[in-house]
Amino acid sequence: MPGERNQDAGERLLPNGAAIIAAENCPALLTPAEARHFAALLRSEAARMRGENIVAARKQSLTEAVLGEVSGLEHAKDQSGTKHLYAHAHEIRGLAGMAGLSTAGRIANDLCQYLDALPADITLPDPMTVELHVRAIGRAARAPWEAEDVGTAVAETLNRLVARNLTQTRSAVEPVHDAPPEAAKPDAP
Amino acid sequence: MTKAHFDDLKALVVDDNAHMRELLHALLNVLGIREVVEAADGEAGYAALAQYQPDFILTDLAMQPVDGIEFTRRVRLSPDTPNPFVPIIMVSGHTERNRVEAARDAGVTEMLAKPITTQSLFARIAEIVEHPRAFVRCDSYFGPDRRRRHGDSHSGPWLRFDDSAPDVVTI
Repeated sequence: MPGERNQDAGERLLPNGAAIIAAENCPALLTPAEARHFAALLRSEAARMRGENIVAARKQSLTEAVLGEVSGLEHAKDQSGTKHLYAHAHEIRGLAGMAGLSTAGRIANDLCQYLDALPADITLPDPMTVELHVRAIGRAARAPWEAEDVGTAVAETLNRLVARNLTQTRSAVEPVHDAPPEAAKPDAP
Repeated sequence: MTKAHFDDLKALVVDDNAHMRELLHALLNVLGIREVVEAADGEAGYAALAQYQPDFILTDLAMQPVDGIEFTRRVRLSPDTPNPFVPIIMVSGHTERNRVEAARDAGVTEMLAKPITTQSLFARIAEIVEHPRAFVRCDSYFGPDRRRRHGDSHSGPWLRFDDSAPDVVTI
């Protein structure tokens, strides 16, 4: 089994037969002094600024990638099934924030969560809910200056729509409980 | 083997999105990590792990044909794994509880939610460098100790010698 090479190096057996290999007995990346030095660099303002410059320099290409995914999403909503729809929304939620399109990313995340929350036996999501999310994502990605003003309100409205839609969907698929047997009912007056 | 200088560290980035791979690669370069290898899914990632022996891994979750969870499981449990102890940071838009738990139970070291920020990425790398985790080995799991906190917060089951039930006050 992996890790057995450390079997005699400070392992502590547990009552359930498992073993704990203490951190100091696991292979270390760096010497303790170098680890402290590197961690300090990682947490420094200078590193953060350099990293943000890297992200900023790629903003245009990230935006183009998001817009490509938005086009894919708009095409996918008219296809059967949710696989492609979910895949494009998932990519948008991953990339949009770094492209400065956080509202598009937030609504794409909401769409993913809606698709995730659908009961397993529901193969098709509500078309209107999908349509409104896709339109909102497209608008927020293509006109981010508008999204700053109205994006939060749109996202919250869509959240309420999703909540209502899921409640209706779940109540529609829940099994109907049998009526209690006649003998169990109280006597009629 | 322990490295004397952090710019000798090697990293592996596994993500099916080329933009994300390229961005993570560039962010690691900014830190002085010069050797960064990229792979587009878990299958290619596992091959790269064997070939390049990276010191840590950043991996996406949702990939085809081998996703990040299966990739992590292979790294931790495969009989031919090149390094079952390698720290794995999972970078994912999937923040649902069941997926996070699946990633943890596969043996992921740290989770990082997309969209990432420079600060959050660097903080996770600092965590694996500065606070290496103990490892646990049992029949069904090999990976970092999944208990983050030790002390009064654990409510059972009592599996360890130093586990203790909270005092029961009888009135």
